[in-house]
Amino acid sequence: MEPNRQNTIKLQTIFPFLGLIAVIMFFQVVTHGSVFTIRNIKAVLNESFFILIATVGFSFVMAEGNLDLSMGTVMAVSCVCAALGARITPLLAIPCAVIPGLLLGWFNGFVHVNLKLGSLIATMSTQSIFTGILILTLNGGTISAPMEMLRWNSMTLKIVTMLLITLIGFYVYQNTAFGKRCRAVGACAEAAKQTGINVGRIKKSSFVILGGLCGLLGFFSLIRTGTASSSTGSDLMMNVWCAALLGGLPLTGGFASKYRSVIVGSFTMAFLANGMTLMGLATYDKQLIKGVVFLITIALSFDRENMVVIK
Amino acid sequence: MKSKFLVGLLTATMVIGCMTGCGSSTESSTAKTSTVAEKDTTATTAVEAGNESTSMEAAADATSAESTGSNSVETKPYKLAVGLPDSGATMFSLMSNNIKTFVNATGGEVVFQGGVGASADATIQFVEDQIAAGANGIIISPPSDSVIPTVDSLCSDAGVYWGITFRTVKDDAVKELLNSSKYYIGNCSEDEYSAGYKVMSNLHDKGVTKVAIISQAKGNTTTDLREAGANKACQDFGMEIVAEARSLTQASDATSAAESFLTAYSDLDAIFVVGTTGTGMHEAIAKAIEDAGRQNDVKLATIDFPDSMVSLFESGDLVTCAGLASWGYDPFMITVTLANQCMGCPISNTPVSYSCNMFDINDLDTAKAWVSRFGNDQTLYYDKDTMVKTYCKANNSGLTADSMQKAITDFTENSLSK
Amino acid sequence: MKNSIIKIMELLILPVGLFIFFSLIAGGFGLHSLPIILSQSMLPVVIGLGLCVLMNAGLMDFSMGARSVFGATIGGVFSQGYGVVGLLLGCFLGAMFAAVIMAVIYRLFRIPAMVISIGILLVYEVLAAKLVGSSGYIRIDKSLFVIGSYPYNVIITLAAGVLFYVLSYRMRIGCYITAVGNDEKMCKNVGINADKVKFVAIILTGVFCSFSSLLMLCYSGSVTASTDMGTMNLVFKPIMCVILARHLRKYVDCMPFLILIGGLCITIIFNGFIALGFGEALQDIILGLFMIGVLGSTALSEQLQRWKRHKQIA
Repeated sequence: MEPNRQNTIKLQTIFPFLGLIAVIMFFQVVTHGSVFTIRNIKAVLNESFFILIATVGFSFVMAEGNLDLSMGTVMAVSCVCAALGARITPLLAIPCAVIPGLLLGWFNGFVHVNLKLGSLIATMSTQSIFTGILILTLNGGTISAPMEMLRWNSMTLKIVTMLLITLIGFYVYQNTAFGKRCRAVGACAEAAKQTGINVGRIKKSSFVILGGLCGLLGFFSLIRTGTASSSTGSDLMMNVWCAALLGGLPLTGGFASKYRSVIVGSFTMAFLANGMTLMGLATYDKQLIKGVVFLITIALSFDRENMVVIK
Repeated sequence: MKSKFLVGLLTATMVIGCMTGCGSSTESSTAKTSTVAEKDTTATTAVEAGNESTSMEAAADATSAESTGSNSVETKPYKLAVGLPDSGATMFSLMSNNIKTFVNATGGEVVFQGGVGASADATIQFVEDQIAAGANGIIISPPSDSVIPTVDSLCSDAGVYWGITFRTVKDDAVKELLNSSKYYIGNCSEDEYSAGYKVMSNLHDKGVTKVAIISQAKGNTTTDLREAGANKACQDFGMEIVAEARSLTQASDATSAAESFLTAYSDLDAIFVVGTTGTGMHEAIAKAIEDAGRQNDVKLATIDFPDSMVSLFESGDLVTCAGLASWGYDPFMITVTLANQCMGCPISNTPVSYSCNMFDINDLDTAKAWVSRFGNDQTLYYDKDTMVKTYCKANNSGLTADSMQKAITDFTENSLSK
Repeated sequence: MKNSIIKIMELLILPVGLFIFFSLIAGGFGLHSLPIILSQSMLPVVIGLGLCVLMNAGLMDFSMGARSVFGATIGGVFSQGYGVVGLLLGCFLGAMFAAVIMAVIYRLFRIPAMVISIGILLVYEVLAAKLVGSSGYIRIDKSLFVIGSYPYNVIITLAAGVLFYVLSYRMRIGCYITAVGNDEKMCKNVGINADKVKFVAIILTGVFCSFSSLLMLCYSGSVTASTDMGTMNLVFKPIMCVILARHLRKYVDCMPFLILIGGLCITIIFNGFIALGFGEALQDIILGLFMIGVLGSTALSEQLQRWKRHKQIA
């Protein structure tokens, strides 16, 4: 019985990878080799850049069994702050993006931990507040970045940033006490508290990390598009959620949360969207296929063995 | 052991798949040769593959070298990507049907994608994806001027032509950039500011002083310009915008908003639908007005002619609306310009700038005339034969930016005469 | 009994207080606004009732908006051929079909309900869009509008509330649903088939979705088939209502009433701001602060007491 159980677990583990490979292979064949062209790889990397970095931060929050609805709005506010800072000097754009992100992330953590609101309703409320602040700041318009900043939008910078953040995230998640504590809190917050872990501080820290990374994405959005507007990051939240779930991150967190889900899920989302565009599918068909693939992939890759209760 | 074998098998499959995929050349799809026949009434065209330079100058040379007495001209196959939805409202379907008809008849293919103009990120991602998908030409409606340099840079690097619909460029630095761009073919726009002003002016003529507006989120260029025009009219005529509701997606949201307006402002005179992505909003608002028993006091105005315009005029709820002769005509004409460029027969050597006039409809008869012409999403702006003969530079050497602008003006003026 | 009545009166302070506050500061807000406030609260309350069934079972669902739109679309299509009977049947069948599919997927695939709801939402939005055709929306005959108008929409919501009360408080299934939501493992140990209970809970949301489909369609006379996860916005207000209601449950345990309180509060705030002429930005900020304020009030007061004690000791 034992060897079969081991094989079953291993198959479940590699299903997300199989899904990613299947998606890539399918589109590669159907589009007659259009997936692995330099231009298309660049497009995929650009799309997955935002999803991957946000998912790295989200993995810490999700490992604790929490959710965050305000990611896109945090990114938009950070983008606006970066644009305002860039008006003084372009070099101010990065700190002006990251610091507000960190602060907004901290506020999310404060509302969730200190005011004892569930993460869903806490971030739903803060999203509402941040959106209002965003609209007031923009006063109905958009803010442009100085044209010279658009030159910073290079593939090299993005690849280096992506690699750095992914590797640092992996190290922190897998090999540091903080990462293990995040998962311990997700597994059982009460037990973690009894072992001396400051649960509140861990939760707040993970929201701060996510906020900071969303802030950084605000900066990258600014140099990519040259614009800060209220619609910046509008798709980020759902893309990150879908990426995390597709990759196999469990909603309840805990030790079943594997970091590889971040990478697999992000690229699966990016290749799926990109592949459907290469095929020239209509908008409705894309959405339908996305929904069906989403359900099937998660059904196949969901780790039921480690879940006592599936909610 | 089993897992290592599995990993090895999967890697090998992937490598073989890549080689299989990469082995098929994308050039083979353009290897067919065919011609655009001037007198071909079936308007079925096929296109000869060529290795002509894609620069505007070389294309212009190719055009001028055509024999004027020839019945067939060689053009290139092409693929266009339009950043507008092709379904979800009658006007979208009407636009996409016309564009598809023209493009297919001239040997090209076209894809549509909605949600592109919603944000700068979506616009850039669309352009990158479509370039990777092999598009020869891209049409977008950018959310702001500041996104244009990035779009131009992407398209120029890839040798892809591109154009703008529903927008005009205001920023001087961006204008300068576009004037020197080899791959920017031009834009088509309408005067949204004047449309907003005109509707408010019409409402003022009907005795309206207090108005509530339903619009898109702030930052949407189209509705921002319309609101600016409306605000100017308020200043000029002593009117007041007392309340607003934004980003409504459901008809029930429109009913709720209208009810709230009517309840909060007993002296409200009109509800002005500046712009909305949701369909069925106008009937929902009219219902709210009728349920409140204020159909004699509160008027409805809108920009972009709704599907139910006739019934709304009949019931007296709608009193004025402004719009294009057909919403899809703007992207249609810029797509024609882009298609000609991609075919190797550019209409102009410099970026074009077309202007579509909006006009207003204030009575039932005019509304009926408009709906009979454009209320059906299968209506073609021109029959297929005309599209190929007149709007394909390969068949009509007299097709220029000026003649295109004249065609736009004539279309608007004659839109109610059929 | 007397205690319950006192507690209900205390709870009513919240919407009544808000109402009085806006009546005093906003000129166009007053007693004449009551029918509109009631009308506009009905749809989020009905959707909230359905959500509450699922949340009682410990599940979360973002697809109720999409399922309601799908049901309304089917209802609209049927009403064109069969009038009011078609409308009612279409809304019921469409919503129940959507719920059954979701329940079957949940039972078969054994993946979290929230995950299924996201996938289902994407699929049903497209199905509804394809059904309505190129116009993007479907209309019903004017004669059917009355069903969604005041006071009939209040009566329909009342019926949904009574149904919820009976199901949750007077029937065994309601008891099982609450038990499974509290501790599923324990329920399994005492012999309750938790999977079956959750399956039934999802099916029951279909009943409430059929109510909301009917209200949505008849309230405005049409339903718009939005895509790109636009229907998710329909669910956020009801989620707020339900979470407010759960927070207030310590005062009196009657969820339909509490969800109504939550719905009324949120609708009063929105209408109050429209009467004040405030823009969307301020509405968003105040709503967010209101939610944090009300839901975090307990924690805030505890913190305040701790700080006072600390100061006293110091």
